[in-house]
Amino acid sequence: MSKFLIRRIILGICIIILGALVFYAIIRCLPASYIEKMARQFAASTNGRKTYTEWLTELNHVYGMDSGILTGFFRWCANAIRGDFGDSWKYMKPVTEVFRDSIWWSVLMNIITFVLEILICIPLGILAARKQYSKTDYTITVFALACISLPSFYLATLLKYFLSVKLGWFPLYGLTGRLFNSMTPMQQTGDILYHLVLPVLTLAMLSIGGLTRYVRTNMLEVLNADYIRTARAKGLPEKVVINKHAFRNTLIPLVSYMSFLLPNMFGGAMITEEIFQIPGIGRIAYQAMITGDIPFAMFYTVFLMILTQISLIIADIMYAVVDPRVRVN
Amino acid sequence: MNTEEIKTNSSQETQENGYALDDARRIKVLSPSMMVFKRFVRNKLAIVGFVILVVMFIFSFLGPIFSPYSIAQLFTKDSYEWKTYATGRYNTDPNYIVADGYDFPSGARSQFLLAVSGKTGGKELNIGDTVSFESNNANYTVTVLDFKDGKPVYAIGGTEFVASALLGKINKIEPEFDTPEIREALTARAADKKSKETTLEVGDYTFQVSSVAKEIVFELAGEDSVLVSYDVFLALDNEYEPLTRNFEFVKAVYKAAGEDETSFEYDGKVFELTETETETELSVDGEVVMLISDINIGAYQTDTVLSSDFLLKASEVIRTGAADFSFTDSNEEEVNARINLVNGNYYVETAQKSQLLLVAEGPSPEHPLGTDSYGMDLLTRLMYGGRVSLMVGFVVVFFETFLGVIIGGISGYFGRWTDTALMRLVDLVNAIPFYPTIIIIGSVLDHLKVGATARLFLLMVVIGVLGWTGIARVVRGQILSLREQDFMIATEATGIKTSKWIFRHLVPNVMPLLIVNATMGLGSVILLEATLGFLGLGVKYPMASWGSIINQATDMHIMTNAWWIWIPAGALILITVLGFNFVGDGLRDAFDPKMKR
Repeated sequence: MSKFLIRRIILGICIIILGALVFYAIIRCLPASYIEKMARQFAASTNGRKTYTEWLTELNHVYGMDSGILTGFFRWCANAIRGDFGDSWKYMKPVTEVFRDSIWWSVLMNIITFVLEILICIPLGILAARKQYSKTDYTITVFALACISLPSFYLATLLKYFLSVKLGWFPLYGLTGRLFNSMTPMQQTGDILYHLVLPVLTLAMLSIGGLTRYVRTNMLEVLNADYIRTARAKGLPEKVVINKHAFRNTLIPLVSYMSFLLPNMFGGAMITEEIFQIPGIGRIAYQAMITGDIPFAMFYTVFLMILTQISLIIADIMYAVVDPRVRVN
Repeated sequence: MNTEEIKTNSSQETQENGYALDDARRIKVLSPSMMVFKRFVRNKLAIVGFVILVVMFIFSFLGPIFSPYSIAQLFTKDSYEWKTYATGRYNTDPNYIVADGYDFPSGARSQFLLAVSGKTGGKELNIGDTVSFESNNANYTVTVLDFKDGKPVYAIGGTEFVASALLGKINKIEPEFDTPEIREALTARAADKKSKETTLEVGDYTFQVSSVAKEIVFELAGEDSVLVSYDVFLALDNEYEPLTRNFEFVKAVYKAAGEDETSFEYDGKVFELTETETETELSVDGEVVMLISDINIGAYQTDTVLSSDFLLKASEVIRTGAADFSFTDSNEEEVNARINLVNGNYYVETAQKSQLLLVAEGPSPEHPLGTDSYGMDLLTRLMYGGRVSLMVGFVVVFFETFLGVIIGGISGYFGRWTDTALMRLVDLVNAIPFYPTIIIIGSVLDHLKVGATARLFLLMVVIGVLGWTGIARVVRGQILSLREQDFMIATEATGIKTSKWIFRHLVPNVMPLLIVNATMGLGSVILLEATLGFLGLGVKYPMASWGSIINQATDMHIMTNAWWIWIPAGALILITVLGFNFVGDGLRDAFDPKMKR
């Protein structure tokens, strides 16, 4: 097992480095005039602390634009391994600092979403599986498919339009209200949660479809298994059959499915955060990338790649932990 | 993979054909594809999805043919707004009319104003009085021609140098005045230091005397070359417009007015003067062609031509203080106007037609879904947008499937190190995060200023290159599991050709999976394209896509006030993707009844 793990981790690291190299190469496609433009902007925005030429040489040096792609990439790598990802061009702060300030909002939002998702999807999926081909099943299937087919930005805009603009129940955007600073800590928490309702609702709606269908498929597979027939034949109550025998066995594929949620959880929801203006990592990264903030884009991409690799490794481990059969193989 | 299904004919048919119960002809064997079709048709959701897709295709690909509008046609509406047409004010500025070839610079103008206001000479002026002033080493003589309603009319003439004397002796004299008589008179005047007389009459001449330091200068008043009045000459007919600035003409007018004549002749035309209470009308052949009044009226915009009717009526209205009036403009059209007094200026406003873009206009018979925030017909844009969205979906999915089948096939067929290498490539492509990549590529394309169509194709390539891994995995997995199956081992044992092995056995077995994957993939690619359009990374104007139409809703004003712009576009995306998912689901069930859950 440990041998397998070590091989898996080394492979993951190789993939991350290669992926970062590919991304770096794409960034290097930006025309040279782009760096000059950025240098000019910096020289203007920093009130002559550094001149244009100083900025230009510095940017060229830091991002290895004055050398070949490989040399530049390895220079970036050498800095990155030491934890130095450079300064974000958009936020004028070290990338890691920007990251620290924004990541937890995304995580908070996604954890709430995740809990909500579990609470909705598992009962719905089980219900649909138990009453296969019934009206309930069809309704749930159509609902799940509709959720999968919904464009995230459309759903977010619809929710904003009907619940915020028309009914005025929820704030339009932002994370805190106007009077946030004069509130007690309890009220502040409440205010933040109140502002998170619509984004969480959006994210939950978007993810419900996939998970519900997954639960339903797995449940059906389990319900057709011999041991369920045996359990029923023993005369066990239906409740026990479903909750104890069937449901527990659906957890195996579910766990692997959930490990893929890790990149989502920490990577932020770019579009939803952008529409609701939640200052999470998704929105921060989106804003940085559309303005061509190379240091932040590099950092964010590598961060996402690390998350993906970790989630894959965790999925492998979880399989082994949850399902003893895997350990044997 | 597909179990054969046996369908028995109805008993009625049996009786008609008269087959025996065990007759083999009684048993109708359906082909596998027919069975798939039958199972698909039996699935209600799949049929709904199929109908949705057909409707969407008709809407997107046939709709634009019947749409009366083109993709980027802008719509405008006429709007009438009160706009300033002309301005008028009571004139308080002197009106200088300068003879041809003569210059009366602004320095001289101010000196003139000082001289006539009595600040230098210090005396009240009457008709016929003269005042002289100097400006920039030139001497001028002002004659008061007239006082009309307390407003003077001046004639200004320059002077002609005659002689100068220094210390009682003439040191310079123009040869034409160099006669003994004049010389004697001038010398006498020059010697008389006490004399303050500014004129000196010698024979027929009246010389003007002025002293500059110790030099005494004798000059002869020249002809009048500038007329100054507080009157405004308004030509009612364009033909007469140049005359209002013509010195000779204006001089003739004042001459006639001064001598109380009712008509005068100028340039072969007889002008009749009619004095009303407030203004003087000049007419030719009984038609009023010019007004001399104290109201100055001018067009607000240089290209407007003011009609005579307007000038007459406007000056009357300004005098009477009425607010609304109507006039016939230079295009012989009746126009309503109103007048506003602001700060001593009268603004004549007319309701003028201007073209406004029909921006975010609600649904109407001409535009069933209204217009978008650029002023284009939304229904037409949605049709063309559907073309782009569906086309992108098909092209990308085809590209993805092609790449996926080739790479997955090679990987599965050759196995060993090829398989390992290709699967690591799949891992690598999978690891590259989609949105950061596409956003950076979008900004690269922005900086390279790529055109709308090229951008669309590059976008499709990028989505395809990042998205083929799923299909490659599926194909590889399918091939690997097929190779393990007994019937494949059996065919291999018979020494089948590789090409036959692939096309007779592999492809038909992989096909159902590919079709299902492609159908579901179409939905997700359309979603992806819409998301990119929404983020502003997708197709650019003048092209349209459903996502880029919803992009307009990022503007709060459009989102809250113009639901018809973004709600239908989103609904179309939702319905289309749902259609693909229904059909994909139905196909999967139809292909593989054992897997149906």
